[in-house]
Amino acid sequence: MLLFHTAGSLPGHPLTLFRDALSRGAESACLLVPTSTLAEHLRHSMAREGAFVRPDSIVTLSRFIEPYIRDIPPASPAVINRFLHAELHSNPPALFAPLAHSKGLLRMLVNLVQEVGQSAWTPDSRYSPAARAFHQLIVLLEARLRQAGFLLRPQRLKLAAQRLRAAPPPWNRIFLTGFYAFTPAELEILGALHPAQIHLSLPQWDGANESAASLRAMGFLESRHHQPPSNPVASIVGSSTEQDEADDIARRIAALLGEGYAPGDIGILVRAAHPYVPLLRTTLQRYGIPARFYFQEPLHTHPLARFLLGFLDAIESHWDYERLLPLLEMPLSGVAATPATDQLLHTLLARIPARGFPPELDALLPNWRSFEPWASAIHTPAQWAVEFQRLPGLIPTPVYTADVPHTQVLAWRSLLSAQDAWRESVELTAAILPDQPVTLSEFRSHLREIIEHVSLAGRDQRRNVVHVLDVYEARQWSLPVVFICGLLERVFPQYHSAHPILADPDRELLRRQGILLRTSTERQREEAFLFDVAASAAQDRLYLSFPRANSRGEETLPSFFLARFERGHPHTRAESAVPARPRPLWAKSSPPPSRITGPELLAALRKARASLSPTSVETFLQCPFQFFARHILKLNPPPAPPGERLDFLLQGNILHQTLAAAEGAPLLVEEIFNRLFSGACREKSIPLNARTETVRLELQANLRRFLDSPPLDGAATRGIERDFHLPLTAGLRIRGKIDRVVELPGRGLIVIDYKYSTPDRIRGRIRSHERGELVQGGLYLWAAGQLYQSPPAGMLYCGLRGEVSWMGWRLAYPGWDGIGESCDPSQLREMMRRAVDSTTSAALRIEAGEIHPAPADRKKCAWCEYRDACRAGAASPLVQVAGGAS
Amino acid sequence: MNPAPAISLNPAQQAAVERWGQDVCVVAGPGSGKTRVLIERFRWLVASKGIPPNRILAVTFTEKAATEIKKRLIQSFTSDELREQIERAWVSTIHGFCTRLLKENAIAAAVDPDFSLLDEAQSRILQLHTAEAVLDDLLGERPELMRVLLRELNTGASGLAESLLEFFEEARTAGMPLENLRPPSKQAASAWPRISGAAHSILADPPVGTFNQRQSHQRFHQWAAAVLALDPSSSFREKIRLFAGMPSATSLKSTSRARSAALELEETLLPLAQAELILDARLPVYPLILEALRRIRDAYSGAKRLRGVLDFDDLEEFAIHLLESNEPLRARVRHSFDQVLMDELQDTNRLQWRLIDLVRRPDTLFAVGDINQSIYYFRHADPGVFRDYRDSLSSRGLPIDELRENYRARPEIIDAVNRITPYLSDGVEPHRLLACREFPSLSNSCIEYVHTFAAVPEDDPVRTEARWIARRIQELNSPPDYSRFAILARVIGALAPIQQALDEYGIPSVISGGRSFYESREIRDLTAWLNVLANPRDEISLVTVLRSPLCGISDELLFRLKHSAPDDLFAALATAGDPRLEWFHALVSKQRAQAGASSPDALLAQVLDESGYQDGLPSRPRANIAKFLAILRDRFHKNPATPGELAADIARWRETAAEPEASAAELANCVHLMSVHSAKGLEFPVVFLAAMRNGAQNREPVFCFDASGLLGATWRHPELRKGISDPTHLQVCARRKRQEDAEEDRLLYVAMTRAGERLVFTASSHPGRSDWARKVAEGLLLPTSIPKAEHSESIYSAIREAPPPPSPQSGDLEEQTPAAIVSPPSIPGGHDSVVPVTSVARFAFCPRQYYLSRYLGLPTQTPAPINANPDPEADAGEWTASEFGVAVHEILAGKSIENPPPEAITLAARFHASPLGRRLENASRLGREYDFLIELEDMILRGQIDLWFEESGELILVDYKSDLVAPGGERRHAYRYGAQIRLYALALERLTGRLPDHAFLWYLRTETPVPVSLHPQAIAEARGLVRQLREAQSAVKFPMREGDHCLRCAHYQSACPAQPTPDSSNPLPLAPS
Ligand code: SF4
Repeated sequence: MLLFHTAGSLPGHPLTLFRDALSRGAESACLLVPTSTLAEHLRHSMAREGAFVRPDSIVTLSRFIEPYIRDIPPASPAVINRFLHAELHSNPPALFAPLAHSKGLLRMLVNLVQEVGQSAWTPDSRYSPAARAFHQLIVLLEARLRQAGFLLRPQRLKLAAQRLRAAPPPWNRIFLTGFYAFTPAELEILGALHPAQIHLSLPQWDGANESAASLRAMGFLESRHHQPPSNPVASIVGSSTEQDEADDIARRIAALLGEGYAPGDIGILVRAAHPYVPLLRTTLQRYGIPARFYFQEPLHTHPLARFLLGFLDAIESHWDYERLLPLLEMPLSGVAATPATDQLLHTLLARIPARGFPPELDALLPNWRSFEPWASAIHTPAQWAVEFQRLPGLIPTPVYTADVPHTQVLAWRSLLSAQDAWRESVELTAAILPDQPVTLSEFRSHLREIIEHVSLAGRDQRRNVVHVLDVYEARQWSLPVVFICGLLERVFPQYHSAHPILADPDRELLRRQGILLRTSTERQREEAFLFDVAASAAQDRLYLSFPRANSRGEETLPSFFLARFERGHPHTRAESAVPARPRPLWAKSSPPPSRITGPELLAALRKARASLSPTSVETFLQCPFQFFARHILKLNPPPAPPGERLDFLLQGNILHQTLAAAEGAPLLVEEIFNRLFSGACREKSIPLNARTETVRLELQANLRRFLDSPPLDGAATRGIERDFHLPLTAGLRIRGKIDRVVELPGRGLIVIDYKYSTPDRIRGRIRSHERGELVQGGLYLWAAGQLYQSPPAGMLYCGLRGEVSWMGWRLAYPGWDGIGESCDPSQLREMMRRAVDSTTSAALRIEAGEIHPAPADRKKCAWCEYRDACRAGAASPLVQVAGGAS
Repeated sequence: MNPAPAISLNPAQQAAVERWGQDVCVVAGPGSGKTRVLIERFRWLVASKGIPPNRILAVTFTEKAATEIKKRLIQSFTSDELREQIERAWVSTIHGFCTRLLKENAIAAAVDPDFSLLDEAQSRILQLHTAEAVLDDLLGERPELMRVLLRELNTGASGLAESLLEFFEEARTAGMPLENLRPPSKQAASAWPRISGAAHSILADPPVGTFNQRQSHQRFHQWAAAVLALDPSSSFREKIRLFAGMPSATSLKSTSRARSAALELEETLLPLAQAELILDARLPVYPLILEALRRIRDAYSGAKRLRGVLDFDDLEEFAIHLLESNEPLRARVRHSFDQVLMDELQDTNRLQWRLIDLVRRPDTLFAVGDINQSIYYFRHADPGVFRDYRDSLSSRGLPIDELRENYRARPEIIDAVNRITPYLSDGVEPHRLLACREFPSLSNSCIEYVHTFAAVPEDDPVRTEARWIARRIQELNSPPDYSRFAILARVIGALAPIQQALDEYGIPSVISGGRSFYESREIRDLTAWLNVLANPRDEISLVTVLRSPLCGISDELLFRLKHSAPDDLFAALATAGDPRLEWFHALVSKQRAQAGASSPDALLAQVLDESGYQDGLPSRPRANIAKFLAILRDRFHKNPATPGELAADIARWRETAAEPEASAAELANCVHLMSVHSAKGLEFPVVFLAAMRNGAQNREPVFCFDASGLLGATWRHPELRKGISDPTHLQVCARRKRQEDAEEDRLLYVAMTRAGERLVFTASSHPGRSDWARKVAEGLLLPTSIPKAEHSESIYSAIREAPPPPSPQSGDLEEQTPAAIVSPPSIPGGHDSVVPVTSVARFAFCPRQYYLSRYLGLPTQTPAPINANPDPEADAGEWTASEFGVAVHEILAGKSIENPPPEAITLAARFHASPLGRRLENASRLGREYDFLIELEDMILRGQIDLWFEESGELILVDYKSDLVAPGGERRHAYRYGAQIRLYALALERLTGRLPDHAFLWYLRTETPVPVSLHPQAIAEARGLVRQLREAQSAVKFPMREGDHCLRCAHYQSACPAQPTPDSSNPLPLAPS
């Protein structure tokens, strides 16, 4: 480590010197550090060591200069974003014009503006076109900012330096620690502070060379400090997956806590928030390990912002149900997760697509409708900001109950912090937009943009927590136990490729003009330095871990840092992660076999089976559990999405109804069909789009084909859509509806059942009948006999889809070639007998409590709606198709 | 350079590796060390030619291959610097290369610099969405024409939108701009003279053959006569109906002349005539198809731009466009690579080849491939790319490096492959493989062929085959290591029954590259849990969860509950009197209260943990669960959503069925099941090539195009359930069919050459589309027809019965490494690290008020009521009480403020004039607005002392109060501030080493000092308060202190339910003196 100090003071590590000063009660000593987290950490550590700490004496450089430039607010990322957005949309440099609407470009420019911080450079022809375009933009941006009273950071620092020179701060001794390097503007501040004694440290690495040279040039004296390396017991832990890695960390932490370490003794360091922070959050929570994550919580992903933005969106869309429903599901609506809302959600879901405030909501959310005028209102941004003061009133106030878990308290604190941030964002939006009337949509979209750059002020101040930090934050932290996870190439170290706007050659040129930007090579070198810094944070134990496979299951490449570390620390242990889980509350349960034995339940089954339809019997024969779920439990499925409502069942019903209604009016058939079709679409909220039109056209063509097909010669209609409910045996009635019954002169009754199916499916049905799996034909024949008191002459299925197909069995009759198969009366009697036998036996089995999943035809499971619930069902048909395709 | 010693290569390999100064083409047969050659080439370039790794571009077929190559290269070098350079080198798939190129040159490429990549399923969903919207628009704009399109196209099960998208994708991959496509022009009836010629031939041939054949012949005569009598002006429908009525040619005697004429009609002339007819009839709709396509393209591009995303095809398109349109950049990129290494060239498409061509300099390409292993035609790979490259080198007189030595398989296997290859002549070039690896001799054959059949209808030959495989694996698994086995099938769907059989036998297995992730039992259980969180009225999901091991309810109890509460099953759980159901109800309710705030993976992990669901679970489902949680976590992290929104997403993902089960990376000891496509580049000691009769269903596309840009389509037959191709469609599909047949042959070749020590062929008599079984049997001289009886000879067995039921295996399918069970650690506290002194005072005054205002941070100004009409003018320019207080304090601290309220100046002046204020003039030491942090009772106290000073040896502490207090009411008012002042005193003690001698609250308005006692007892009580606060935070217990003051509290009648009665006022905990 390099130490620098001004003349007249003694060298030493700044932190040690500051501690000394503090213990001696020196009130004029001040410590400057690079991040607010580190400042807070040091303030607290020193107070806990027994010192009387002046908070202002340990601060970041930005906070330190704040009193001097309070009159000129900094151009925050949100402000930069806003003005850049305006520039890109009004007057973009030609190179950026094709991407003027790209959020990615805007984000990148916001970051780049902060990195470069000024336009004071000359983009001559040696610079790339992108660099020149960027310069053009930053010049315009600076002008806009200045006009609005903002300054970029380097300029603020320079201004602060000027003012500091004029009015020196009250500190006699100033210490700086934790900085990796200084920007020229920061060096100017140091120059301005010169009358005070300054002590600072810089790590010995390439990135600090320029700063060190500048300090020397400024007259700082240099010495070197060799910190005795901490020598923790180190382990390299390999795990099979990221999840196992996190589990293993949690397991080890639990063990360490058992050994007497406090949670605050333990730190987990990650290179970047993604992917480990969400994983660690979940994992540590599962194991009951409290942790504080030193990462900024963005406002735009917070439930509050999502709810309020969603609410505005819903207003603008005139309460489009698709936008409204997620709001009702969110606890912030104040009505979520109640039986009434659950019921309402299903009702509204079944109406999608729809818009307009649902009348049912008036009682639940009486205030929401009052926002409707916003949809068409036009206000100035300031007026919108005032209007928006009503929005937080939508959010329910936290309700106090004793003993709420800390997680809940944290959630409330975060909610209230989000409310503050929301309010500030609204005010900022109003402040930086031109004072011209805008619609809600415009104001909201500007607000959304601002919000994307706003973070919540962390209100998690818990003491007994494990610290989860990124490696930048971890500098100067020293903890007894440190875990560094995700040690994989491309994760840690990250890879830095050339910047698309300011590539390395541009950066080199900028350096010559005094603007120090790191090149991709330098950033790459910094990774190794970051690793060393992170590893040196451990005092007693250090765990370096990596997963062998990534989340996609692909093999990974462990970080090269591991091998290097091992070479430098020969006693490092190589370990394998142990799979771990938190102790369960319950023993894993295996549900007992499915069977109903309770007398009152058997009685209920008896009652249910007293009246059966052929379809329900067939359901039972296919699978007792399917019957149980559909006909006994009557499980309610969720409403089908709009695209699935016009299913084959509904299509078939429309055709059935058309045929029945057109019986006496064949000329009106198309009109009837169209009326019924539109009625069904209205009733089921089926959108009238190309998909629906395709179905309508197909149904129409099939109907036409059927009407054009030759009639059944010689048959006389006896009944249409005939309902029946007839006793079959003692205590068992059969109910159903026969589509059509015709009489063949001298032969008897033929039952006709229309199916909206292709010939192949009708053929399959005939085969199933022959195998005894279906009872409809036999029962319908039996019922027709009972109803019309005539002998049976046939059972025919008429397939209406694709081609008109007539299949089934009938007595021989001239001219009926191609209409079913001819059979003799005994075959029809046998069919009825088998159907009756199967039905009575099914009724007995139902009554006996047989409900287990036992599909007669496994292939049908793929289409069964209970295939998830029964735990026996197969994969969905789609998967089979997809799998079969390659 | 410091390379590790090179791996020894054979002369052919060595020659290829070291060929220099020219383009190189290596034809590498299976098992010939292709990857090795590529790696050695890279190594040689670095070590011997001194080329830095980052100046070599290596393009691999998969990311996995890239990682593997890098890993092996890294192992072959010992220098850290080189190893790191290799890791960062350009070794990636073509998509990886494009991504990096576009990211680094995003501005020039005009792509969002922060673009993310849509995976296949995501792009599919977005495409479908945009395509449907386009069609809806068109239906509104041109309803009549659109109706023709919707009604007449032969889209089958897939709708118009899907068919258009399929075409769109194909055109993109082929690099065919939509602008270049055009509708076919009206046809002259070219087939008609030949049809009438054929009809004449039929009529001229008298009926011959058997009675039936003669009858048939007669029918043909009638038909031919009708054709010849057809009025050319008769309608399209009449003609089509007549053509559809042609009897089958095979019903005629095989040697008759009529039959050959009929065959020509059936196979060639009628389809052609129909094609011409349909084109004439539908021609007006073609421009609409093209317009729909262009609109879809534009809408889809717009949607992607809006989201800042690219799909895989964009990567190639944009990269090519960038390089083609930007000459300096192209030169720079070309210049940056000294060598380009290309793996699996045979599976490259024309677009990718164009890209490679753009980045390579002359004589720097080293390409490896094998036409016989080109198996990605369905993804538009073109083996012609490789052929053209090879031929171009040959034509320049350059040598082609052929690697035929096989180092993978036993000679017997190589022999079998060589015997079967002649039967694969459609797609496999005849090259004999040479077996070069030595194996210990075997006592039995390492080739087996098993055919299962059904002797009686009840037999299930598929299950028999599956069980036979499972049993055979058990027999062969010695020494035990399941990872030596792979089961390959042409279609992945065929592997399901086999995996089921392996499960029955307790053999661990994993399907790679399947798409059944969302259909696995555990994922269905967890999805159902999310559905329940979204809405427990989804009773099917509720029952799914209840019956799963997440809850484990019996059906009888389920029935009872539903019976008792038919309308609200969920509510009934809470009162069922069953502790586990109560837990379930409580957990669901609790998680619903966090809907949209907690990451779904955390919610699911909680239920998994608490229910013990994963206990004893085999590794495959555990890996699936981990993958599911990771997917949800990632989804939520990028775009948080409510359970309902997530459930809708999952339903969509499940529909697209595009996700394979969790990878086998950590599932070491298991049998690998995979499609032949997924097996590319892999090898296993024992390979079962199963379900050989099970072929893929290659559907004809609805739309296609030919090389000249003519659009083709297939239309509904007005009479039959089939399609009629237009001329372009007819021609393109015929070519396509030939290519597919050739690829089927290559797939079989690839499958067989995966095996090292044993190759087992199995097929069942279940009808299928593939003729692999026949080809293999012919090559091996085995029976080719489906057997009728059980027998076995040499390597061949025909079996009909499933092997005996397996004995249950102990633990094989159980969790292989039992997890460590961790009890939650007991951690004291939960309190904050730091607390402001004023908060301690607030806590002392009313713990609930402290909790609401300070601990939670509830605003003390209630938001405007919903229906209030905000008045922006109100209070402008006036000082609120708290602003006034701040102003006075600042003046007293000596700070200058803008436009101070005159009264504040007066109050400050009065203090300075007071006896206490005058003492300041002589103070030896003083602090104003003095911030501090000290540690007390394990908390950090943060505070600010208004004033302290030392004068005449006395240490004085002062706190100003600017509140409006009636004269004489100060003491009572000061009551609440006692603790605060004493804590300040403690802070001063920490600073100065002693407690203050006096402490005062100074009431500015009445100029009244109220002394605060610093008696040790009082000080101890103040400390105690900090302790109490810490304990209250730890236990989250903040009782109300109801009293008159409640009426002035911001939380009264809002967040606080206090209902003070006149006599309910509690005494304050600490008196000021
Ligand atoms: S999926 Fe199959 S087993 Fe399950 S309920 Fe449905 S039919 Fe029965």
